[in-house]
Amino acid sequence: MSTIRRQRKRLVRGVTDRLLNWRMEENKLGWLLILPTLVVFAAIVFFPLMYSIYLSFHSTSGFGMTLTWVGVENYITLLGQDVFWQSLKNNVLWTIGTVSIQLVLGVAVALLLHKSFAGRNTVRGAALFPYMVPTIVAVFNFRWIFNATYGVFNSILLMIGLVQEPISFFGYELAMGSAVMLGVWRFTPFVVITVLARLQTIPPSLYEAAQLDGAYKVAQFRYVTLPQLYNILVIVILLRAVWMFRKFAPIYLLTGGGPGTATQTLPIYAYIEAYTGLRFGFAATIANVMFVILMTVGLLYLRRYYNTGGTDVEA
Amino acid sequence: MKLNITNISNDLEQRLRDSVPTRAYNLTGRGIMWGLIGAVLVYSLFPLVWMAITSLQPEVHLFTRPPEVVPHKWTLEHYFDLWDSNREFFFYYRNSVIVSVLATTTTIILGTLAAYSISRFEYRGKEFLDNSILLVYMFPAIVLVVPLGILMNDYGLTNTWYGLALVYLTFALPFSIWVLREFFNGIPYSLEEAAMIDGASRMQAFVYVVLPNALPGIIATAIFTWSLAWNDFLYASVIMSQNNMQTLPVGLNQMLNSANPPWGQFMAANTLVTIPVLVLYILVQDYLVEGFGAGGVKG
Repeated sequence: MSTIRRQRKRLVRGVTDRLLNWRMEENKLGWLLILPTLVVFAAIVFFPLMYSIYLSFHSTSGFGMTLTWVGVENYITLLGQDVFWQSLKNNVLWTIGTVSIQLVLGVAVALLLHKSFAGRNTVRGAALFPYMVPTIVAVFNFRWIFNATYGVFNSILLMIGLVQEPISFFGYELAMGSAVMLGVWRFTPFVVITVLARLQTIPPSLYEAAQLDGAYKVAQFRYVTLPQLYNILVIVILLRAVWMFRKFAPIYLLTGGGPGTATQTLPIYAYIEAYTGLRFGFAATIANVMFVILMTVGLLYLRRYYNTGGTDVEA
Repeated sequence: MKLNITNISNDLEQRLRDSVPTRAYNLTGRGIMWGLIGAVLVYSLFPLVWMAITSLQPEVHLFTRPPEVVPHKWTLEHYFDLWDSNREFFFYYRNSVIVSVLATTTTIILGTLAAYSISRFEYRGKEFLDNSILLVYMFPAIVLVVPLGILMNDYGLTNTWYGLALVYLTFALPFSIWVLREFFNGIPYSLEEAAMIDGASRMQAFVYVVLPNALPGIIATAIFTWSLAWNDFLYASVIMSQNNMQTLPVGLNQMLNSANPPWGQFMAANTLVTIPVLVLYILVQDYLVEGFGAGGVKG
């Protein structure tokens, strides 16, 4: 039995060896290995991107996808629209709200989980799990917990007498706040894990020195921890800002952009224009404007990454 | 200047004494710490625990007030109801599994080759390629979804598993290359050199020496890609318009937005969607943390 298995294994190994046994000039091999990726990118990233720019100079009508050249008219219409500015404002609110809370909460939780206590790894695992939960599941759970009529959160508030009648968490005033809560719950673990990784590389001798200088906990945090975290925090803010700015599914699934346009961000605006209004040209225009905004921040990130020698992201 | 040794040592002693906390202080400190840890746990896990509890309670008990946090009657009726009246849920499940697996395998194959190329070879235009790959990862999905929806339709790839899997490469591949590249950079070149001196070809060295060493990174990227595909709503809603081809996020969203949502069934469905994620997460948690540390990038 085991001889057969060994023979089969040797055969497989032999065939693999034969398949891999060819030689080629170094720089040609380098190109060959990256070629499939380039082909795929050309087909599903570069070409669609060009097509999106092309689309934005056209108006599309109805189902037939007839394109009519309109020049920059889409861009002019867009910038003159109140909905656009409202969506941009929502987008910025959502980004600033989620990123700032994530940052404060994330650093606090990271400091806590950096301490040593029994069962630390289990607690870390649990605290990071929201990041892995599928968006749709997180959204469903929020809609259920914060349901105006049957939600457990409202029940608790009523029970301890904090409110007299149930709060409508997805009403006009609170919808954005609820969306931000969801965003914070789901994405804070990213900050926690990045900061935690960096905390572990701070040499303990720095704290000992600070302690000898009479620095208490608060001062230690202010003069040792924070300066050490500075670089990674800048990168985390940039990355999180880009990623939160372009988020679509969490808000769309939670509120659909409503009520009215209370939580409508730019991606949702574009999505509705494309798939409800069937105005693909106009939707592409919105998306391209977003693209320009994000690429500016993306280039900033890249510059930062290389200025710090790339070391901090790895930390 | 004359140095006053006694003074300095007294001062040092005083400082040291100050920095050693008293026992009472220590106990309150521990108490506060455990309180905070408890708060973090409740905050992170409550929505999921509540989901599981809801899915196991009889429908009538879901709408009682005050709510029963610990139900006195457990039942699997919602799971059976899901099978009876929302059978399409299991089609969504199948589609999600197939598409995620396809996307993950393709990403890992293309990603390891490309990352190896960037990590080990020198050729013209490499830096530009490297940077573009990172920038592609910054793209908002919404920019690509409109043109990709139209193009995939033209090529007849809408409502196919491989069409959707292909679309997922737009964000999975740049991410994987970025993380794997860091991993390959961390593997000393001398290992391959030794293998090649022993007569191995470059590709043999790659497969037998580099890949096994990069295994944690490969597993981390595989999990990320898998969960990106398992998670995605935007592309799936555009590429898969036929009901029987839809993946879980799109299908579930349609179920929830029906007129009078049976919450018990939804929470049962939700639980079934979360379980594979939970199992995988527990299995590979250590790898994941390592992967995070290496690349530090994921949306």
